[in-house]
Amino acid sequence: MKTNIFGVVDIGAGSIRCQISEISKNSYAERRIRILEYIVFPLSIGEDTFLKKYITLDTVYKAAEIFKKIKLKFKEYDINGNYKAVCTSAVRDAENKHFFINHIRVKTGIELEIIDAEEELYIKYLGVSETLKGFKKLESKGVVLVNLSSGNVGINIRKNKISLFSSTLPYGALRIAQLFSDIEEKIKYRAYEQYINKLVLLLKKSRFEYDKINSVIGSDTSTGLLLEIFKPEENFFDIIDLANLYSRIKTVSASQISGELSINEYEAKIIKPVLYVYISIMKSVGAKKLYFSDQNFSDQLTRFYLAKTKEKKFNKKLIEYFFYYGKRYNLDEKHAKQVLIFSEKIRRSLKNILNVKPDERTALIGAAILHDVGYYTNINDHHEYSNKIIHSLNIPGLDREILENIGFCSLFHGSGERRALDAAYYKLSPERELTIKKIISILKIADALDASHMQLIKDITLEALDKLIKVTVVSSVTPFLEIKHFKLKSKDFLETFGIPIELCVKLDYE
Amino acid sequence: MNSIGKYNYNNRELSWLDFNERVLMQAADEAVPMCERLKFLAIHCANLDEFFMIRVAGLKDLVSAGYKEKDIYGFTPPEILEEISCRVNSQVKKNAEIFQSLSLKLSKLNIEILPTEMLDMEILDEIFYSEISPAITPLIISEIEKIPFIFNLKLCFFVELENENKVFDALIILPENIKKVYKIKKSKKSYYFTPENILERYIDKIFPAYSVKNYFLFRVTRNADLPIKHEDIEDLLSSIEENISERKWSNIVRVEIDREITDALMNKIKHYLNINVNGDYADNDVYTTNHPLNLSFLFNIIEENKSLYYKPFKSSIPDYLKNRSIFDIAKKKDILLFRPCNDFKIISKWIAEAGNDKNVLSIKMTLYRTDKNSKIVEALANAALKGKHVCAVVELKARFDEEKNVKWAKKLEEAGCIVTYGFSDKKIHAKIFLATRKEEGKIVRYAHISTGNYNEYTANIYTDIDYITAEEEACSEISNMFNYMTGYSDIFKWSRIKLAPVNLRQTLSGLIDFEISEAKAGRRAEIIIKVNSVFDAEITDKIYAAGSAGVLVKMIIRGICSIKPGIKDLSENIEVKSIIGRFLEHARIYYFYNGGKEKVFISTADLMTRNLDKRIELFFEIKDHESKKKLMDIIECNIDDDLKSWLLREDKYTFNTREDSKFNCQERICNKFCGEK
Repeated sequence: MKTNIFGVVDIGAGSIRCQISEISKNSYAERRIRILEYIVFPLSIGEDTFLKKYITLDTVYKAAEIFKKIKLKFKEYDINGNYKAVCTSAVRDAENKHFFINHIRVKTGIELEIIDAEEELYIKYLGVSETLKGFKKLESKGVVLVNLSSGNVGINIRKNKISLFSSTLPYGALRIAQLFSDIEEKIKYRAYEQYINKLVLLLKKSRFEYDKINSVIGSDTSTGLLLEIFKPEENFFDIIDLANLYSRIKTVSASQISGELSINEYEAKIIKPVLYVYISIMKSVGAKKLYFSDQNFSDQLTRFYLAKTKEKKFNKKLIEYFFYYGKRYNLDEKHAKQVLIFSEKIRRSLKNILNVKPDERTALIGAAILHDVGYYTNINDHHEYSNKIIHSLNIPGLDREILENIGFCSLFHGSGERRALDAAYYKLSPERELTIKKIISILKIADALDASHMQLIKDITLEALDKLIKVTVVSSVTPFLEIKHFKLKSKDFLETFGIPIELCVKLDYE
Repeated sequence: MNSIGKYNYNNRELSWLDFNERVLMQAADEAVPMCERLKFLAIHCANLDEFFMIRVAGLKDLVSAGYKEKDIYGFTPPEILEEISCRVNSQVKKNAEIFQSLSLKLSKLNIEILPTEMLDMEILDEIFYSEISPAITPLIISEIEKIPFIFNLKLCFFVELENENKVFDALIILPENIKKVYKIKKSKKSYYFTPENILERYIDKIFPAYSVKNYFLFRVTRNADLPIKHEDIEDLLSSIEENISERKWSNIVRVEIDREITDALMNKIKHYLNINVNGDYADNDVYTTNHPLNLSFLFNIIEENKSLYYKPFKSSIPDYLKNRSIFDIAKKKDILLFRPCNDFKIISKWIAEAGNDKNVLSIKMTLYRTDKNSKIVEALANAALKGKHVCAVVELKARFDEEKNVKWAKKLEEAGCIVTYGFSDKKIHAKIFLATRKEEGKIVRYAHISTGNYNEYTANIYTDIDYITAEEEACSEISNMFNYMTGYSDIFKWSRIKLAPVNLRQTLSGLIDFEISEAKAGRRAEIIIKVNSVFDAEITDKIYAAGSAGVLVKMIIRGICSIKPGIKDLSENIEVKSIIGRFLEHARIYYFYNGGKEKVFISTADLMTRNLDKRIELFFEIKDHESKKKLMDIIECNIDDDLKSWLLREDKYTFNTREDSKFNCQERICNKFCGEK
């Protein structure tokens, strides 16, 4: 049995949580995660960020002290570099986030990384989908996953295994509490309600899918707090219980709430927004139950980072998403599929030369499917519109940087040289520039091979000769447009990989 | 039901004095071998010293602060001090009588303890002139009107001298660095002398220019409670060190004089000790004993005659543990051991084995009271030197062991252990050890949970439970307990273990409430609790409520007990007994019938407010079937004991004097565990 010790640190708004897990695989390659340590270090980074927009020096120092203890814990289990320390909105939204990250690195050697809101939401979705009993059934009927954290609320609307809408909005419980901290306690709830009602209104107006939802699933520490209060025996909270509690405490001060509900001051401070966000979303979709998974974020992170190594499965899911979003913009599905098949074949056949990394492959898949999505808006400038549409997407689990790379590749996939004109492109690091060049080079070849959008070429084979890459294509008719585009677009390939690529057409007569 | 009246609780101090009287009665018990009886006299005396240093000192502080309210037991602080004085005088008198009687009996066996007659022994000259005289510094104090500071429990002679019709007062403080007792063999007789006993014989030689008019031996007891002044102390180690040195200078709470003296002499000593000035002192703070002031030398009476001692006792190692690694056994099944029947070396060797085991990644343990040259401390230091992650949570505030603990802590730090000192406002009383091992790439944790200290000396004389388990949930939560104690966090979910001050009080309440609900529903309900002390109003009321509801409550409480059993309509269903025997009863065991799904727990916690609210205590359910059965056997033996048990009815303890009594639980349990295969 293979085992591995993995550490996860979740730097959240109200605490830093450290989880050390043992991962073992049995002879059937089934993974078992055993939590060895789970430690919560209370630290209100969010109070700083959401009120002052930066993390105070005092909090930075306190965090460094906590990380010294975490380092000791890592040493105890011989973790070495086998960990992920992840910052969410409290650090992500702070002006001095880089100072914070640098200070922790200098003082403890622990590397922190910021995950974007979409990725955070996706990780939580994965966690809920794995552990919430009956999730598949709920998802098939339409569900909204509400990830209500201290800083933001992540909304993910899903139906039939597909994410219909995903967005993160600044309606976190602590953020709301901080926003109206100057209002008298007795009437504060009215301010919360007005603000949260706006959120529901926005959701209703902006998404036509909203009426397809039947159930609400809550996640993050907000549901942890409700769990602590209600201690439900099943995996849901009843809206009547939530509403009763809300009406009982809405005019009461945080200190009284803390005493009455036996929760700490921080929790007492956020309980009113937490309750009202859930109640109002539930009411807006007519849901009677708020489902939850009792798996914590650290556990979800552990599972996510271990699962990420399974690229095949992840990319398969992504392909579904790319097509789903593409279809919304009248994507030429057949062309997209053809380009995807060809680009994958090029990548596989020339793997020793092209050396495509996992994230580059993801971007290549995305670009192969979505590069022409801009036709929906404008045929002539479709490259630009493709880029814009791709930028506007929120794809669960997909890094923003990868999505941006897909956008760049779509922008530059034409035969003309447009990179020189793009300011954003020149701000990229040399490494990222190379990534984009690699993807574009492959994408252009694959796109050229279906330049007519007619799928004239049935199959391709690639051969790496001594000083040449030979692409042999099989077609029933001479593919004039493809041959022409191939000539125009193969220049990038030579410039990027230093080897020319040539086309050889074999006609396949019936 | 009788409502819980204002004074339906036994007073803590008086209940403790009752306990010490039961200890004293062991010295009077003809069934106990004579030299062992001497030891009980010494224990009684040492217990009283501690009682004055802490409890009486605390009451005196209340008096000084002008606090005069009656407590829930019906006493004001001055009233309770008066009652204490009265009872202590009576006990001291009894102690003296027993000592006299034992001395006479031993004399018939040619053993002379503190002989008073003139003896022609050159060796005494030798001892006095070569050992005692060079070590003492006699002082004439009447000239300077002020005596040097007399440290806590130091023996001193006050001597009134005369020269040319002028009276001079002098002081001889006995040094610490000489033997406690001198044994001289002559004419097939053993003579035992204390240094003060010898010095007294030569007192006129100490001041050659004067004649000795009067003299007496005295000692003072000082307040030894160690308050940590600020809750938020950054460096607990320095704070403790500071407090230890302050303790030596604290106020006097008792003066003992070894013989009747004149009023004039009494006034003089009070004047010198400055104990009349501020009005906090009463005449009853001065105790005239007619008796040696420090009986600790009785522990050093060593004779060859075996009949004077308990039958030699040899702790054993069960066959299934012999020559095998505890790791291998504990991985398959939990291990329950009973001290002192089972050899504590099983544990200390295992800890050493963990330190040397290449697969062990980390070792963590609490250290509350450990012994001189502790092998366990050595093993921890050794493990750290071998590069293991070793974390020792040292409780510096273990009363009277603070100084020793500071030394251990420094030693461990030097070896590279991570030493933490717990909390400034809570004592770490739980006794736990955790070894984390990597076995075939997999993490396996082993925990040792005990009711007793990691102390190889007391392990031979205290009864305690040792429990070793590799149960994953238990070990994981014990790991969290270390995280809690070492200041990582205080946010943990506790389900397998309960701990004070986090959730033990609620847990106990819940368990008792369930028995109450069962009794009210007409079903069998039973609670058996074996602890050292019970002293907490909430718990006492809860137990009264259980008794009133019809729950059968049996309690084996060695020491303080606030419960008054046998009060009509309140505590008729409650039985309380105290077992005082050869070994000090120290294991805490809790049993609840729990509707037939019996629950048995071991713990370091007594049912005292301090244990439930101000200490870190572990309360651990024994789930392993075999171990649970062993514990139930121990409980049963305690209940069946009729040879060493004192029964409490309201506030009076009575000793079972039935002639047909024959069940000694300590013997019975030892026979069981010593013969274990």
